[in-house]
Amino acid sequence: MSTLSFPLLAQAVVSGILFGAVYAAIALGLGLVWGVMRILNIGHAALAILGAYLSLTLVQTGIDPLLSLLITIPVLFLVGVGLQRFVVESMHGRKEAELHTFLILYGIMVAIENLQVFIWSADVRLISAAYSSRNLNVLGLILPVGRVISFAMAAAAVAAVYLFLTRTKMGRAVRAIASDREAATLMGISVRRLSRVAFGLGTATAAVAGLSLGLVSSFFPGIQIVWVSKAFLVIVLGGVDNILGLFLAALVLGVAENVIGVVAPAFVVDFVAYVLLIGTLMVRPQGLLRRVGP
Amino acid sequence: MARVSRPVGALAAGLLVVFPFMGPPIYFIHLLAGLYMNVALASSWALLGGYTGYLSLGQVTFFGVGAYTSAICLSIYGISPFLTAPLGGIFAVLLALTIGYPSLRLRGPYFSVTTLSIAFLAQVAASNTTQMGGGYGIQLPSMPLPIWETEGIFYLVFMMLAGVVVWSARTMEHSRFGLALLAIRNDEDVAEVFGVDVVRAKLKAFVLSAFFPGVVGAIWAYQISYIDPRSAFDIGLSIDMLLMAMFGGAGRWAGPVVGASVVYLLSQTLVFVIPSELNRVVFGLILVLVVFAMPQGITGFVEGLWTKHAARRHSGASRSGPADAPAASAPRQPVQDEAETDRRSP
Repeated sequence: MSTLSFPLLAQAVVSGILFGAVYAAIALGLGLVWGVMRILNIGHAALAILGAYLSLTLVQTGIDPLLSLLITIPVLFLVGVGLQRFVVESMHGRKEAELHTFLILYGIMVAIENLQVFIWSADVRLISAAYSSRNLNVLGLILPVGRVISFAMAAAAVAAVYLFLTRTKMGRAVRAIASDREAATLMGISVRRLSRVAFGLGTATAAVAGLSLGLVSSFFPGIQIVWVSKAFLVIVLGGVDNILGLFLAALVLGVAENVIGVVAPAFVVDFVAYVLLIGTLMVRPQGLLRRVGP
Repeated sequence: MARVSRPVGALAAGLLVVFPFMGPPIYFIHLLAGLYMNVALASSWALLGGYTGYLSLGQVTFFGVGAYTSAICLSIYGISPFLTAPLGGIFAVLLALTIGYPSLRLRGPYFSVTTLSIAFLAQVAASNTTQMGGGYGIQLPSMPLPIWETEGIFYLVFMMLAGVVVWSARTMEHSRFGLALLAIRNDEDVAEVFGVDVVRAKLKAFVLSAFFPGVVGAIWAYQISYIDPRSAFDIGLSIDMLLMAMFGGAGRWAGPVVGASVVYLLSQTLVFVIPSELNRVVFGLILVLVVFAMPQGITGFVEGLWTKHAARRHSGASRSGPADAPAASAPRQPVQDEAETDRRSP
């Protein structure tokens, strides 16, 4: 606990922005899958942590963290395609499809988390690269290089998905599915194929999210519950079908946690996200930044 | 059917009551006491989750509240948990009212994630409240009796609790209230139009499904005699409640009883066979398989088989068309099965 002087505040805000991008990266895939398929993949953060562990294992063999993405992104893309193909599609037509899909994804989450405990143990890990310990000094603010890289990666993932959805033909088709499935089918869009692509893309971003998380924050299998509920908060705050709103909401959460962390005891920080989440859901379940109406 | 099953059930219950007095190995008394506890927890989870379809991932919060209530009453004021257990339930109810009123307005995954967050918050709060022992937890004095008698007492108390919860679920299932909850599960908006006081019914179910874990938690704390935030607010326990209830078939009073028995005994056996980390992996996969193959749980699956068998026998004997087949004992069951198999969306 200390008083809030200006340099301290500025440092907290900047750290918050850098860290907030990690929230954005995790929420990105969760929001994409939800927006297109109307499915809450509760195992999304478990997949992100899986990405972090895969990167960690590759880094331990001497590969640069950024290069590990060349392997983890395709792997998690295939996981997402598989989930869509074998879980979501086989639930179609069931009376309680939504409930059953959620339960299956929940079961998969439990299995993935504990498989991680089995393979990598429940010890706390951090991904470190040669440059992680270096600091940049900008205008009197200290910017650890690891955090800057993590921020850049997360922001790049957000930008890539945003450009995909708005600038490519396939991305526009995906958005068409999100706004009206049946109309999209009538327009000749291959809903089945593009849903697989969208789910795959959603989980592929978890690979980036996992690495950017692992570079700045320690992780262990059980922590995924915390990340998934924070990512959920971000999409609730930012709105599901609004990628830029999501990014902004993530930065707000990061800054809020960091600033409160300066003035209040550490455990209060844990409450910030949840109080925001529960409060927002009560007051405005459609999201703070989401347009009202269709 | 009922004429045969009632005496058989009474005999089985009677045998279970005298079981600890017949001098079995203490391990089995302990094992069955754990089984009853899980039956009670799974059944109380299903009071809300099974009938309304609101999947709470945070029922462990109420278990933890009960555990801490009795632990504090015993360690500071010296009052026996057997007296304070209802108090644990009452505190759980008060918390449920506070949480339930706003959060039950949320549907589907929104509700699940909110309850999950609340369970996590409760754990953080308990870890940081020094009056509750903080992260170190609370050590409870154990019962001043030989271990045989102690285990026997817990056996009977958990058995009684399980009986009360299952009886409540059964009574509820056949009541107006139970039907109102099923209507909510089918279509909440339609239920409301047809005059179900949706908010009140959901809240009532939530409060009921919080009260029993509070009581069970209070007794559990005494039995285990040391609690800390990690064990009392273990999110894994929330998972187990859901898994056991869904496995057996939530939405039928017998479902959680069967589910808890199978899952609990399986997990206690698996411990000897595979490493404990893999235990939960297997659990997760079991949940996946159950939803795929038996969406209505074991009891729903068996009931479906039985109905089909009865229908076939009947139509074969009377040589009449399928129109004469007897109405299914649970009308919602077959309708749903057909809907599942014949339509795959494009």
